[in-house]
Amino acid sequence: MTSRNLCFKLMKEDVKRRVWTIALTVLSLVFTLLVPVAIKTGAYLDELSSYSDYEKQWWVRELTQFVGINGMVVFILVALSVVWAVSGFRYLHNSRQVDFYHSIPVKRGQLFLASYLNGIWMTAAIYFVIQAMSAALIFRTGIEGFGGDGLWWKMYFLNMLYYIMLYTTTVIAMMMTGNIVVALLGTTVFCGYGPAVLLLVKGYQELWFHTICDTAKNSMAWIQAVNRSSPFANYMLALEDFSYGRLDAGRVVGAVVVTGVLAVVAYSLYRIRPSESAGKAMAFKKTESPIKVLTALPAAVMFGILFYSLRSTVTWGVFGAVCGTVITCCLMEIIYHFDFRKLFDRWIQMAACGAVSVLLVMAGIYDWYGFDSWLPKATSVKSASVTIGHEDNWVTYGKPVQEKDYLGRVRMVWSYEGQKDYQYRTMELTDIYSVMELARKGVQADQEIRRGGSQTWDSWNREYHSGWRRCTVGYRLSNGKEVFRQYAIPMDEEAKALVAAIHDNREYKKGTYPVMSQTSADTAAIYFQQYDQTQSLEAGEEGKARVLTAYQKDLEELTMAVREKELPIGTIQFRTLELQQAVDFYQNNDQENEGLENRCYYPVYPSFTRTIQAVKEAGGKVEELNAQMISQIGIQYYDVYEGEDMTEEDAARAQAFYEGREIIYDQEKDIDILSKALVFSDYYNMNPYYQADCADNAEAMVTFAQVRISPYRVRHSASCRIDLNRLTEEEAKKFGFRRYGYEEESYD
Amino acid sequence: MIETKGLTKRFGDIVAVDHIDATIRDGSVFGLIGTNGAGKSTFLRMLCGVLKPDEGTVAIDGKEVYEDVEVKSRFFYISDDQYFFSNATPEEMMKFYRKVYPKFDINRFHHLMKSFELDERRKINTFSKGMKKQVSVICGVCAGTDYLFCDETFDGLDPVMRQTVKSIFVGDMEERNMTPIIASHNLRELEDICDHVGLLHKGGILLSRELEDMKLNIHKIQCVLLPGTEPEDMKELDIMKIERRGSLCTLTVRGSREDIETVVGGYQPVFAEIIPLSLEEIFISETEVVGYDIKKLVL
Repeated sequence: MTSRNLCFKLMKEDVKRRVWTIALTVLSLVFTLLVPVAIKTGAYLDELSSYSDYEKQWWVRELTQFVGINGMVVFILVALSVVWAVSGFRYLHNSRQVDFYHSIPVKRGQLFLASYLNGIWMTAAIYFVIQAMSAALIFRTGIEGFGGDGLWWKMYFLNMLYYIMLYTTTVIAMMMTGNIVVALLGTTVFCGYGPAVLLLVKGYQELWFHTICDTAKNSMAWIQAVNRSSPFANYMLALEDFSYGRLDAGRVVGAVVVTGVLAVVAYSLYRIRPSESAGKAMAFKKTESPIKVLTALPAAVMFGILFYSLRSTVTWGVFGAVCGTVITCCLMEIIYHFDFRKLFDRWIQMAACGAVSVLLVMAGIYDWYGFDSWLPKATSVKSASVTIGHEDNWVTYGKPVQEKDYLGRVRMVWSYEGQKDYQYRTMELTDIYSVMELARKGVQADQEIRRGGSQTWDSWNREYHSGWRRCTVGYRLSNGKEVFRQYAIPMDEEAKALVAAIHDNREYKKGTYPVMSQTSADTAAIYFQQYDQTQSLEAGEEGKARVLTAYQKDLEELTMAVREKELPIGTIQFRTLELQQAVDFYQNNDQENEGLENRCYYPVYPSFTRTIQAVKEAGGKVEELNAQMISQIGIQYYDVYEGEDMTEEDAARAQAFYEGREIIYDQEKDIDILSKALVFSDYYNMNPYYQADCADNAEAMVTFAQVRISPYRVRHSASCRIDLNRLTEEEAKKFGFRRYGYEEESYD
Repeated sequence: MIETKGLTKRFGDIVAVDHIDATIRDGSVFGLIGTNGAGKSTFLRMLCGVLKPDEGTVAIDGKEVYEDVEVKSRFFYISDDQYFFSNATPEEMMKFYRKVYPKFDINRFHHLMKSFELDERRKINTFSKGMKKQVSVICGVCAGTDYLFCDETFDGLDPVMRQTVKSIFVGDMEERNMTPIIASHNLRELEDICDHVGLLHKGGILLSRELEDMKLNIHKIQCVLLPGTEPEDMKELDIMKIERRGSLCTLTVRGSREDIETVVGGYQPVFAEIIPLSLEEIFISETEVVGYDIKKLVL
């Protein structure tokens, strides 16, 4: 008898004994795929004559998704991969069955292949038939636009590829264990260990590496690592990429290779697996200690992080690490021996794990790695980029891109680029002194925080405190390395001067504002906006260039001193060709453009005289906010004065406050007073350096005289803050504006 | 011929089989006897290639057993708790065995099933323990292999069925030179069928000998010695055990019958008689020598 014949005969015999698995596979796929498709296609055909074209398109998508990325089918296939692997190799966990199978004159390799291949081809055949029948049902409806690019069979192959990968992973777990429950735990570990450890590492870094900085490159590397660390994660990310049409052939080939390697590993494990391991927790004694250590260490560190997060003290961190070690090691030993009394077996290993985990926790707490205290030598820094936290978070980075999903839908999406990433890519600060001094202050502050002993909360809270600012520095070192660090810096006079020096630097402006690199050739149109009134500047090519050049010059010369004193009086958009295409795309398709047209507006300060002049020359109208533009001002109070000496106005305000309504001021004399104190919120948010003294208990809603802001919209109102610096004490009192009076917390 | 050399198997710290050298000749019945936990099943599982030896070798006609299909097709293993497929019938088991044992005799299978009054289409899990044993023995003899490894196979069979199975074995030995290797702690069952006996104790082999030789080399003497003479005075004898009941002494002695008779005769006993030892008595005597307490034996 040839080996191949015997293998087929064994497969046939194996199929006879797995009828229940086949039945389960058929039933689950019929009820998650074929039956819903039949119901939906029936519903579609019944109402076909009444559908509009748009509704038909919706149905195409709805029906196509069944044979496309179908969450239920994915879930069922993942579950089936485990069921088939367990049912195929469960005999290895029973000594009677092992004696039977391994005493017959059949090579172990053939026994493996018979069970292994059955677990693949049976599911493949059943799924193929049901997927094909579902596709045929959809075809029968005659809907246009379905199946043109072979979606149903592409999806079939993708799902089957990852079914085989997950199935083989479970088979490996079955090989490495001698008990089904332990094998299922093993499968969970194979699928979840990598992502869990990567998450833990990320959590560890975020908690204790105060200066660590997330960049797009790091994030991408992390996602890639997650992708490669688990077959399940790989499957999910492949589905996501497939849905956006990003799954390239390389990824698929990689998955095929990985699956092949896993199959070889499973085969090899089967051949060397000792028969006597049936019924034991682990088939290979040698794997027990490594698995225990590899489980206990991350678990212990996770416990350390958890307890440290609760109390932020070394004692609790160490307690967590020790607890985590003991609990995990004991659990592992109980599982290994199936005996609770063996929980302290191999206690030396437990002690070693405990010591290492305590060291890891303490190394994080005390920064024994020297990560946060690291500063490059000034001479070794070629150039640097600096991101000043919250300074210019109104700048939109990135560009619109066209995206096509797996159902063939085309849409324009904004492909965002992080501020830090953009700045690192485009900024080359050569004024290393200011950067290094700023970084040194950040390092010193962090060391003081660590010495203070309550690191966690302080570190994060100070970032959001007005006296502190978080700055990110990207170092380009002369040895070719690129290093990012972010620092929480106390903004004393020295720090303010350093930030101002960096801010006023032309290299900083060039690396912060994309408009600085724009040319008139890249510019499709210019829009000037004041109080949400948008004007298109029809200036011709020459005029466009003039406005752009003027703005670039003004922005380049904008200093911190100016920003402390001025607020923008308007915004300007130099609409790029790409942005114009995106806006046109939505207009042509009669769809909402998701606010694309309002992106990439830049502030125009009163001191931008060149820009204002150029805008005027291009036919634009530039005017400062004044009383004549306003028809009424509504004041929303959040708190009112209710003392014994309260005036009539105070009583009226209290009444309005309790009724939750605004007080409307539409008299000219009131508008005259209030309008000079109005700080337009959108502009105020564009300049965090502006030294305003805004009222804490009220906000204004300004209603303009009828102003058309676009062909479709008429501007009615705008939200404003009230700057008390611009009002006299009496005026402020008259309108009941006040500050709560808390002092800015000192950083020293 | 099956030959093991230095065969060793450890399960963690336990040495289940400890450097066993044994030879099993073709055409004879090899009885593997031993105390509980002596390693009989482990030894058999290594013989049939289920377990891989940690040390040493198992070879049939010079070829290693482990993972050699050709060699494995020469034996059939009946474990002490034979596995049958879930919900399988004897007929279905036969069909499976037929695929892996090329010489499987279907006609004989039907004949034996009928003779044993077993329904081929009844689910095996509804059979009694003894009936399951019968099915496994029938499958084993019908497989047409040169060797049949039986682990406690007679345990659970009624006396008539035991004799029937033994006669089937004898018939197969005569017809096609089959070699049964039978592991059991029930020595009485083996005594009338085994030609050669291997005695295992604590993973090691105490002795491996032809049963007749074994019986010829160990004797029990009942004697009444002259007053003033003690059995210990007969230093020429290799005495394994002495029991006294008044003046009647029962000695278990190694050596040939002639030598023992000569030595005992030299002391002019009042009465002396040599009586034959059963296999069970030989087993007890041999294991007692190595410190195995009789009270622990399971017979």
